[in-house]
Amino acid sequence: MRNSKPESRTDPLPTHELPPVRSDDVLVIGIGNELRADDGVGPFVASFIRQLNLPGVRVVESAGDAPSLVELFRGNSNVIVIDAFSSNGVPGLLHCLEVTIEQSSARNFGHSTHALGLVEAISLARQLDVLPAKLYVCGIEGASYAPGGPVSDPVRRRLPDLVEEIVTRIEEFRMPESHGRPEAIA
Amino acid sequence: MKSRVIKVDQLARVEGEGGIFIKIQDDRIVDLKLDIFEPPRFFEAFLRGREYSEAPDITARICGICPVAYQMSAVSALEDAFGITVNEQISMLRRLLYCGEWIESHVLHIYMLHAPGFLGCEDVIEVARDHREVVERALKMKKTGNEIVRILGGREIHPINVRVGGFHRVPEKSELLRMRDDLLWTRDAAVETARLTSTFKFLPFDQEYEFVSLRQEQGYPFMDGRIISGSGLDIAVREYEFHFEERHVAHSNALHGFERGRGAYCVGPLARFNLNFDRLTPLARRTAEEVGLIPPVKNPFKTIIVRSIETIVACEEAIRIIDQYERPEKPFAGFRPVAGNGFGATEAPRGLLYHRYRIGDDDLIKDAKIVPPTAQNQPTIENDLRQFVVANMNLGRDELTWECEQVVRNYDPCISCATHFVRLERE
Repeated sequence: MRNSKPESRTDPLPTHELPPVRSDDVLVIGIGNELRADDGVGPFVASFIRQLNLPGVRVVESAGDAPSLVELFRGNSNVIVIDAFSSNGVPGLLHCLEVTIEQSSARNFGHSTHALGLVEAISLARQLDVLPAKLYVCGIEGASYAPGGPVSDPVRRRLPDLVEEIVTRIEEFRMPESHGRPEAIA
Repeated sequence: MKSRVIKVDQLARVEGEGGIFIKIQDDRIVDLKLDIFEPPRFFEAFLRGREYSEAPDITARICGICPVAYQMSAVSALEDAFGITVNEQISMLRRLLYCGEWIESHVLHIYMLHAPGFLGCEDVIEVARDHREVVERALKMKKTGNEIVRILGGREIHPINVRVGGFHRVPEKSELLRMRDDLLWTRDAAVETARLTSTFKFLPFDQEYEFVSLRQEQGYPFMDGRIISGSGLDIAVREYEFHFEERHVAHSNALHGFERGRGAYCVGPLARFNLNFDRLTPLARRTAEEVGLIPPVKNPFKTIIVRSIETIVACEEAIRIIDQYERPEKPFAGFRPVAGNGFGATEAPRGLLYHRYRIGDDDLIKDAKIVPPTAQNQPTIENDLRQFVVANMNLGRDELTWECEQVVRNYDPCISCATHFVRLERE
């Protein structure tokens, strides 16, 4: 038996109290599981955005279930959701979709692998009149979702580009008029 | 020869990916499968070679809806291996954390996954269109559960505050007291939920089950205690594998659970309720009696009411724990890891969740076994489907398909949790 001292942890965990929301604040939500390869895109990129300490930007992670997402949408006008994508596209392809209040949610989105995921969250939020005025869903086309697997090379190479895209969106939120951009970015 | 097929390629309103295939010829079932597309459970292999202290954080990522359950079973097994006994306040805090998860998981299932089918709605969005206040109530209830997990677990998803021996940090009483008003509201909302769900129309479908659950020395079962069954089984957790086994079946990627010498068995709310009715909290017991839910309850469609009653239990327990809480001096018990085997079982929202670990002299996990409740319920779900179809051959195909999906949903199966990618269709 290896002799080891009992573990200790000197710094207490933060309580994660969320500050009050201002109307021009931006909420960034990372969805995914870091232990399932490319499914970790959401939390990885969200974590990086958090470290940038951009003023007026809050970053959270979410399990991606519809009720939690609806509550995150509620009261927030500017939201960016980060997730992995699967569209039979080339792994590593960047996506950034604008979701509007008028748009039919089913047209562009297929089913999430969760029973009630992002698709249903958008529809439910729309039905309850809490859909953010400006909502983007951004991510990277994944290649692998194997449990315990690492992020694939095509996805890892595009992570900095996705961060840059999200920072650009955040800056656009602050401009008087923001415009949607093409659905997929090569 | 008249034949028909009930085929659902992808079940709606269940966690993960699964389908049903039922072939009927001349009013006889010739083939029946609950197809599971879940990737094999690599997490058991993934844990091998990792340090024991990583098990709570790794297993929390097996399921996005019930991470606390995986963490509690993991620390239970590891503390069994190391001979650790946590003090009462740590134990109460763990029970409180579990209450938070039961609230959020049960409310999600009741309102968002199960109730739409009883209300004749395609999904919760349709329910929100016609009964907005009901959905808003559900969202607020779930938020209460999420808040408990956030405060005690360190964050809402994949909690990070749980460790072998206790927690990394324990809250001040004032942090817990801030949740009290919301818990009182949620408790009352849960009573309304039980009253609402008891008015749903339930097809007559009483089945005979071998119920299996934990039974604690005191209180409704969450963690600790012994494993009991309706047929008289009463064993220590470490004897689980002598009595229960998992087998591969050809049509499924998930292992199926069987009780040795008996066959299929049932874990989850219905089992807990029937085996521990005398341990319900006071308001939960009164509400169950008010809505006419008294054991034996053998109709699996009524699990929606049982989950409502268990949500009341979770709220009452949470309030009781908060009221008696005194912040422990240390957040975790001191210990030294030792080589050996450890066994743990706790009651996830969906049922008994069993973990076993073998730890080496180097403090690394040499072997891990994780048996989720949904795997244990697989044969029972298929039995229910078989019996239901036999009893309802007269239903039209669309109606029979709809009801078969509800049969599966009765068990709130967590077929595969954890991947979240957006599936995009280009026009």
